[in-house]
Amino acid sequence: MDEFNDSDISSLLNQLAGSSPDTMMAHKVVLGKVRRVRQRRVATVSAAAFVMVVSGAVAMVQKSNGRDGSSNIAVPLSPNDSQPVKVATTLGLSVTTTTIDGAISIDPIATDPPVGTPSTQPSSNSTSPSNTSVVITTPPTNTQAPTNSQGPSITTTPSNNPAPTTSRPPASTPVTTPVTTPPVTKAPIVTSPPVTSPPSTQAPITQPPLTLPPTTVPDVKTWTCGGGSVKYRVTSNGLVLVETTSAPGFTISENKVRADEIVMKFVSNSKNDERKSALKIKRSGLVSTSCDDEGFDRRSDSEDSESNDNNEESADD
Amino acid sequence: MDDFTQHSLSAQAADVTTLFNLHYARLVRSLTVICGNSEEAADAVQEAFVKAHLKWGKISTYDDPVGWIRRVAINKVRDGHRSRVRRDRAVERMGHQTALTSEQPAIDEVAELLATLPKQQRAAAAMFYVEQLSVIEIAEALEVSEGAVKFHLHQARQKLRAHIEAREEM
Repeated sequence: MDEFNDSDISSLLNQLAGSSPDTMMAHKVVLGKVRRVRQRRVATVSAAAFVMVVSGAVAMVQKSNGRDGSSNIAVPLSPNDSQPVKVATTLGLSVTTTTIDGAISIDPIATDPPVGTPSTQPSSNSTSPSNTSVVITTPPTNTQAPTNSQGPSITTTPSNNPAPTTSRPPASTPVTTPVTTPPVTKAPIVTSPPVTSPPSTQAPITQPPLTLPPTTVPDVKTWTCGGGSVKYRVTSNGLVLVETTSAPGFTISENKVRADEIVMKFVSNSKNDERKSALKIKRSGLVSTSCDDEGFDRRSDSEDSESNDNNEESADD
Repeated sequence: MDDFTQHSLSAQAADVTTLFNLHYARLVRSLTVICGNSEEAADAVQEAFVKAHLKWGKISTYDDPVGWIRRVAINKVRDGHRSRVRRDRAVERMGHQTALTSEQPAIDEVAELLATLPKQQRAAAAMFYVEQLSVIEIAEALEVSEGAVKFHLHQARQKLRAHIEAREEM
């Protein structure tokens, strides 16, 4: 590098460069600039973090608001650790049919209204003035309809006929359950339907009315002869034997039960007594009944008996 | 701020401060020769040290942190020079008489002569004669080859020598 060394040029340029600048002052200026840049960065990062936190909080609030609108009903994990769900059902019964048209209201917070207090919710399509409201407390996993709330015009009561069981329908489509279904239907676990009212008001949710199709309740009829009586029911599938009762001192000697015919024969328990009784119920389009009593002194009253003269002859005997 | 962070920041500040105390004056004087304005040179070097402060974690791993600072300062001067030239040309196109702000202040004849030198020759001469850098360091700072640095130094030396001889004859 000696070829480029030139003291004259070096001194000339150093003279042109001037004296040494104030390093301390320049250092303070540099530190001040660094501090300002760092403060700007911190402010930017803080603002970004604040915006993120605020936006996250707003999103959480919106999310929680949306959840409040649809989850007022807590889904119980087990029946033991949850309060029972109270279902208020309004039933309106007609004369010959059992029509359940009522609004099911579920109180999600499970307050305790007085049991038996009639609900004041009017049925939307109920025309019967004898609407009754029943408040039923059921376990949350097994929602059952109330036991038969019967209208005044039903004359025969199906004693062992299961009550029409209503399971909770989906919110959009009403579910109709025929009466001939099994007596108890396990309702699905109560899911949380969308609730439009704020939770603080604790207003019951009005769901679309539950309407069952008009169904005929088969009556239990009794046919009595001298040796005993038979309770039967006429269904669409045929004759159904409900109960057989022997008269005192008689036993059933023959028992034939089919869908189209029920034949029940009774004989006396004592050997000296030769009284016999044959009871027939036949169904071929119409239901016909007959009673053949031997050795009895009176006829049994029947609804539409076709008893022959053997009874009187036996009575005469 | 915990003790470790405080200590690391103070150590970093100490390192940068050491570099600043050692090289700031040389850098400013060299850039003054290059750009012809001491204030502009001081601003460029200070901006380079600010960036070194902010990026010291990365710059401290370099082999020559001062070379990085010098390169940043030279680029800053060049950017300022380019923007000034662009602005003057725009004013000229509008038909106004410009004040020729891009021209270097004519301190004396040497300054005028330096202003006529190409940028690379001026920078090479300033680094070699003022900052006492080697050809290799000048090549790294200017991002050119050593041969190019030697060529620029030779050309600059010839012109300066001719000017000095002419002044001595007068």
